[in-house]
Amino acid sequence: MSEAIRSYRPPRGGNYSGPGRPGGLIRWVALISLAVGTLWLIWTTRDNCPVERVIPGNQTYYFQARDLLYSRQELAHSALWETGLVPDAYAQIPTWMGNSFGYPDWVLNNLVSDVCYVSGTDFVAFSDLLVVTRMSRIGALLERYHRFMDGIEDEHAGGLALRRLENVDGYYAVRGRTLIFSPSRDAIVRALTLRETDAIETLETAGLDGVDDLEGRVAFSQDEPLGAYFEQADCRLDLAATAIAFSSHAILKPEWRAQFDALNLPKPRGEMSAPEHGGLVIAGDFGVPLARVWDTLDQLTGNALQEAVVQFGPLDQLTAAEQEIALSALQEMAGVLGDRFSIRLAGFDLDGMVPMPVLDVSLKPNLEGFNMLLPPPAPTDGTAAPEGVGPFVMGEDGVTRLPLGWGDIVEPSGFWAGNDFHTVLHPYHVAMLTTQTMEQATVSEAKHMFMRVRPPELVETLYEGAMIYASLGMIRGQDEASVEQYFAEIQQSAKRIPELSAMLGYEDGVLSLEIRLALESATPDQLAESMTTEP
Amino acid sequence: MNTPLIKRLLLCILAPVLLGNGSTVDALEAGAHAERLTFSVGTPLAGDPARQGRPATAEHDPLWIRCLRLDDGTTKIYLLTLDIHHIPQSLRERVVALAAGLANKENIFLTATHTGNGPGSMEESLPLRWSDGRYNPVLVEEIAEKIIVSMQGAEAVSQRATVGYGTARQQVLSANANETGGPVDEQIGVIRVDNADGQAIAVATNFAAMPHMVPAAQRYQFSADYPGAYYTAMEELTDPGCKAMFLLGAGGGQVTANPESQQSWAAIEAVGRLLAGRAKEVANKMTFRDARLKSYYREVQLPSTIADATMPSTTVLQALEIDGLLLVFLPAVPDVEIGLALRKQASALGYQNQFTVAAANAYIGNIVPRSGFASGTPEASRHPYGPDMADWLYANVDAMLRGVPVENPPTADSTNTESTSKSEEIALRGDAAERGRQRAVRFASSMRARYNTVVLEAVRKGDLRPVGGAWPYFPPMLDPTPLAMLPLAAEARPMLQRLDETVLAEVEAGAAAVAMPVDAFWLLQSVGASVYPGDDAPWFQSPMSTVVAIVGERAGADQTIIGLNLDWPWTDLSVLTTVEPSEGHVYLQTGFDWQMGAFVGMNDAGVTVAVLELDGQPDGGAIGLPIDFVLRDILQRTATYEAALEYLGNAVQHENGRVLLSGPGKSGWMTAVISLGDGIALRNVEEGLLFGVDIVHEGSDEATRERYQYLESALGSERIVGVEELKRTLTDGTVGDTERRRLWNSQTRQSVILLPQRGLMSVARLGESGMPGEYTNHTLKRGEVE
Repeated sequence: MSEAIRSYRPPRGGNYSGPGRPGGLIRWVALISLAVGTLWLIWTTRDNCPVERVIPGNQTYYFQARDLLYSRQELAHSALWETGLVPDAYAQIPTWMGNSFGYPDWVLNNLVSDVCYVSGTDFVAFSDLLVVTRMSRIGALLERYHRFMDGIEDEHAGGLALRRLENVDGYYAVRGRTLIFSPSRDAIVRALTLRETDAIETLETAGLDGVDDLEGRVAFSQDEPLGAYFEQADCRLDLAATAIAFSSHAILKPEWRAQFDALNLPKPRGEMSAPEHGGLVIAGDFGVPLARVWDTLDQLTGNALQEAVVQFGPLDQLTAAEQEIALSALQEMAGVLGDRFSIRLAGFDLDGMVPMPVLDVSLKPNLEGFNMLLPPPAPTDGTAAPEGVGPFVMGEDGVTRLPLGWGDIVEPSGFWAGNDFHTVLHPYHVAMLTTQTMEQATVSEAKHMFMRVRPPELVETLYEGAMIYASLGMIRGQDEASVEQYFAEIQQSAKRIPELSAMLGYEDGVLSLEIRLALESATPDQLAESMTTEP
Repeated sequence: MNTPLIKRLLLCILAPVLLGNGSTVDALEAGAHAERLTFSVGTPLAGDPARQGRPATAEHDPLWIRCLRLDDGTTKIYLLTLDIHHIPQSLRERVVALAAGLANKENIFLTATHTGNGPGSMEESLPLRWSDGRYNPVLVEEIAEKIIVSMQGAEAVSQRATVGYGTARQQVLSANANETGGPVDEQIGVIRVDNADGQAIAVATNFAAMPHMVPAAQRYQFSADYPGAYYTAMEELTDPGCKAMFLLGAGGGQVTANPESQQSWAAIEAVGRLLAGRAKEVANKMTFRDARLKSYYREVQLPSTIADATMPSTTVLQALEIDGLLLVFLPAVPDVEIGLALRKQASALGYQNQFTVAAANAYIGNIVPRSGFASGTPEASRHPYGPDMADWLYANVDAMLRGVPVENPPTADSTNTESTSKSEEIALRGDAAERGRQRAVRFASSMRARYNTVVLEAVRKGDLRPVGGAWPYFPPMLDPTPLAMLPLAAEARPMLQRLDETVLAEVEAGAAAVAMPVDAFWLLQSVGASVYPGDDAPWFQSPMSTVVAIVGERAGADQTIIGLNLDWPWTDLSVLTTVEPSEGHVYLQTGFDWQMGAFVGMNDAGVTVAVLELDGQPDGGAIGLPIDFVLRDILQRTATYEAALEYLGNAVQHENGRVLLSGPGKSGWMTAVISLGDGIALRNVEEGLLFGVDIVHEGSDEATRERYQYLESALGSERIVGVEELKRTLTDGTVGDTERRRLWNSQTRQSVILLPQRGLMSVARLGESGMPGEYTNHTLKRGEVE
């Protein structure tokens, strides 16, 4: 062993960690500090306030929105905003949704979790709207440093700490990792001071199961328009850039339920046959005679339907006694019309003596009863003058025509296509309904009524019809140029919705409504334009 | 050889060359072709609105396109006749386009025989679809193509030809449809074209009688009517291959007679056969020549109508000269009087013969002469223009033939200084037209404004609409005005016939002065006081005037004093007019600026009239006689109470309302309140107060009752009622009385005191404050009108 003296130095930059040495102490302090800091972080960002705790139990509406931030850009650019269906009051929504308020997306993603809960009592102006969401730990930590963010000011209500968002004219507060936002200061204060017994019990009891993009429940008050008919309604909305689906189940008030129950409507068959073609299609399959449905609807509308019939055309020329006879005959006829119908707008007859829509009304009547009540008239020999007021069939065409005294101007006509009896306003329209346009489609998961609109086709049909009258200055308050301009605008909007369909059904006191919109994707230019307006 | 004779022979031979400036004369060529028109059963028939567009169920006899091609080497024309009701504008445009290589538009003469049983479906115009059936553009194209085939066919068989023409008269084949002994165009005009061998290529016959003979029971069958029978008969009478053609004359108001007293199709066959026989007689006697052709063509701007939105703005006039024969082609069916006048016009221009060819190139409806404008005949109802349309036609045909621009009548200077005050006094003198012009020039803007804000607005809102039909069911989003104005005008026009004969001239001059169609101007005058756009109940359920007549000793020395306050819901300008007509009595009348009729008036014989109550135009009811015009006629035409009463009774039938009449009678001065309705009912007193409304025995609204109660309480106890007292009573009221409970209320526009025996009228009109101004006195004396 060498006797030379050795001098040892710790390596440059190295850690001294050995016990009894000064470097080791520092390391320990740092470690402990880190642990304490972590514990502090965990403690201060703990989730000690469930969202249910700040949502009042007496709100009249509750909604939840899933993946709001994830899909907000997509929604902001949805063609929905170009369709003209959204009221002007909501025109700023796409701008608002596309706005990051000056924060990076990762900050917003941490501040707003995947589900937002929206509730309130004012379902008309949304003045006390309350939005509750859960922040991530990082979000909660970031929020602690809100003082370094622009547009957020501290505000106090008694002992409650609030923050005021200057940019969106609203307030928010934080409890644990729960963030509560409202445009109403009072609503936030009420949420923060809510007694446990006044809050909702669970999210599920408020109808918020967290499944759909947007779902909720509304309890209607008597003074709201829908409150006269419904007690409450559950709604679900799935939003996407190219499709929107909305469904609602509304519980009728007892007095209305009694009237609907009188119909004894069976459950929907599940499938319904409806015309494949046409800008507008309305179909019904009730499982009970249409006459009964008509009577019920007439009662529900305070006899408005019957009055409309009496005031129509030749009937209002009759005396009251004659009208009664005519209505009785109509009721008898209605009794054999079967339990399903469809109405479609198949086009516009521009060349008619009076240009008019081509409306195809189809029924599936009780064949035996129909033929007994309305035996098909014998065909004329082709040379007899088609005068008089009785139904007649000309030649071999098999079309039964009902003269109204207005000659070839308007002459409702009926014909059979398979087991379906079709009626149109004019015999010429029979020829316009080609075999192809008579095709039927099967609507799956159908309810009692179905409606389908193809806005581009519908608008084009109405445009053609309107222009022929506009060219003569016959559209009230409009000239040819203004009608042209009006349709040019709505044609643009209509192109955004290739198809809209709706289904309506009734079962056990609940009216069910489903609406589906297919949307055309917005073009890049339209996206850019929709983003030009900043708040 | 005799030298002078040789010289003469040489001169004869060379003369044509020398006189013709060395030009050569081309030989006339001609060709004719007939092309069958076939239509499927189910095609609507045109021309009879009673069919309401219903389609044909069968073909009785064939329909044709017949074409005659004439070419004199300089001018080549195609004369076509089609067995259809009229030539739609779209058809002519298509033919002209397709014929681009064959002929230019100036030389295509496209005419319709006007059969009432030809195909429809060719009119795109919405109003014309009502008699033509649904529009079928495919049919237009098909017929246009067949017309071209026909033109090509005529060209293909063209050969050297000569032309002859002539006329004959008949008294048994046609008759005036509207007036026994009325004018009839008896001429049958014939053009015959022969080939070089003297064989007939074509015989065209011009005859003025409507081909509407097909019996009602067969109205849904295709038929060429009597022209079809004429073709058959003529082609049997002439050489094989000859094409018979029919050119309808000015047949408006002229129908076929039934010389053989046949029924149904036999009657049609008889007329065709007899016409062919007479035409053949003419054709056999005529001389033939290498005729020179000259065609005339002019696109003309049509006069404005009450329904310009649905009427074409331009049309085509054409004429064809074949030596001394002039054929005038009109885009309408003119009445027989117009055909006769055009013949005289042609004669004055030096033509030997003239044929009017109706329903050619386009269709703007019927044209009736001035005398038929208000006649209410079917022809008049299809005449969309003013009473001067025939004059317009003569002027344009004359200008076309002379090759000069048409001389438009000078437009009256309607720039005037509209008064800003609430009343006006004017004086009118001269004949009816001059008086109409003077008034209209003075109040042009008021007249246009009232037409727009009251008459048109009432039509837009559905408060004024034609009688019957589907008008009550007009969809609410549609404005019926463009379609409703013509039928409304047709309803209003016949009222002119129940008024003084000079009224039309006055209305016509007034319309010209304000640049309004006569129909629009007359509609304003005839319904302007009796429509109230919107809810008319509050106004027309209450009398418009509050009237009292003080009769006998209670009027003191004046014997009769009439006091009246006239209420009116609009803020129109009150006008006092002194009228000195060139014929009849001088009179004073009061009314409003837009109005020609009189609400209150008095003439120089003392006959005094006033409207007490107007009947509002009922929704969907027929347009009634304007009472204010009847009263004006009475002022101008009558000098006694009895004459005025008789005039009123004759003129007013089934019109409701109430008037006051006063004047010198056989047994002294007479004053009466007259209720109109089915007959007239009089109420008068021999002595005392005669009120416009007898509130004890007649029903009245509360406000009217209050006004008359006040009048009675103020005047009833007076032994003698003086003028000043009456003035004080009538002007008692308040500005804010909108319910018309006071004599002078918020709607009162004039207060009038009439002393008929003294020829004195005192008028106080609405002042700036809303209360009456000072009464001003006006007296009547011929020659002193200012």
